[in-house]
Amino acid sequence: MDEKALIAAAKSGDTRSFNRLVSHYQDMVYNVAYRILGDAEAAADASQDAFLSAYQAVGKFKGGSFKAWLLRIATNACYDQLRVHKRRPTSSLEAIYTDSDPSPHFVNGRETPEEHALRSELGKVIQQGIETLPPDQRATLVLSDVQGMSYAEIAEITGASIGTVKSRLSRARARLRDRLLEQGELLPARYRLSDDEG
Amino acid sequence: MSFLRKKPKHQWVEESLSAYIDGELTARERARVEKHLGECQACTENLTTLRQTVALVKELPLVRAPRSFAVRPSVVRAKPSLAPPSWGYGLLKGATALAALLLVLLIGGDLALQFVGVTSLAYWAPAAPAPEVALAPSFEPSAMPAPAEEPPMLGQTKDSEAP
Repeated sequence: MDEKALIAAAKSGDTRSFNRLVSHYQDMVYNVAYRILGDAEAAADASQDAFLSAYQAVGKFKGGSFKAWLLRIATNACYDQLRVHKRRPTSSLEAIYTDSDPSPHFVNGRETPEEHALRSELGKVIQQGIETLPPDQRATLVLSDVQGMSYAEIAEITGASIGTVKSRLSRARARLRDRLLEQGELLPARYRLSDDEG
Repeated sequence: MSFLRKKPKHQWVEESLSAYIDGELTARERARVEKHLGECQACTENLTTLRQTVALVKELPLVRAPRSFAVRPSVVRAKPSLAPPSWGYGLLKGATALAALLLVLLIGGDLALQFVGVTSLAYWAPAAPAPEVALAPSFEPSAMPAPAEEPPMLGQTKDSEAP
C-alpha cells in the first residue's frame, strides 16, 4: 500500500483511495475505540464517526504520521461517545467474551478450551478495570499498552505534554494494578499478580 | 532537577516506575531509581506487579472491526465541496425562504392590523367623554345663569303685590 499516494488521491476527493486507507486502519481504530469505551456498539459508532471526520479533514492533513493523525481523531470520537453514553455499558462485554461467540481473536490453535476460558475471564477483568479509569488515563493506557505507541506519539495524539503522558500512564497502571490485586482471587492462578511469579 | 528535590525520594521513585519499565527515564533518573530499588522492598514489589499489569494489558487480544467503516458515496455526496447542490435543491431552498418570508409578512400584517385597531379605539373611545370631563369644572354655581323666576302658584301673590 502506497500510503502517501492514497492520501494525495483522497485529498483530491477520491473516495476509493480513502476507503483503502480505511480498510488498512479500521481494525486498529476499532480496537482502540473498543478498549477505551468497552462497548461494541459505541466503538463502532466512534470508528465510523472518526473515519467520516478524517475524510472531511484529510485536505488539512499536513504530512507526518497518518496513523497518529487518525488515532487523534479516533480518540476525540471516543471522548464524544463517552460524553454521550455516560452510563457504564455491560452488554457488549458479554457479547465479546461468551463461549458461544466464535471470538477468533482468542483461538490461536495452541490453547486448550480451559485455557481459552481462563484467558476470556482475564480479558473481561482487565477490560472492566480499564473502564474504571478516568477518560484521559484510559486513552493513554490504551494507546501505550494496547496500541504500543511511544510517549511522544501519545503526546501528539492526545495534545498533552510528554510529562503529562508519563504521569497519566503511571497513575493508570497503578490504579489498574491495584484493582487486579483486589480481584486477585478472581484471576486464574497463572495470571495472578504475585511477587513469586514476577 | 528541581522537581526531584521537591518530592520525597520514595514517592518520586514510585511514580517513576512506569516510565522506568518503558525506558523513558534519563540515565541519571534510571540510576536513581535502581539505587532506590536496591534499598526499598516495597518499591521492588511495586515494580514487579506493575510489570505484570503492563504485560497482561499487552496480551489483550485484538478485537477486529465487526463491519467495514468505508465512507459511503451517499455520505460523501452530502459534502458541499465535492458535490454542489442540484438546481432542485436550490429551488426547494428558495421556496422555503419565500414561505418563511410570507409567514413573517402574514404574522406581521396581522399584528399591525390588531395594533391599528387597538390604537384607533384607544384614540376615539376615551376621547368621547373627554369634553364632558373638561367641562365639568366650569359648572360653577356663579357662572350659572340665574334661574328664571318661577310663576306664582295659583292663589299665591308676590310680596310686591301684597296690599
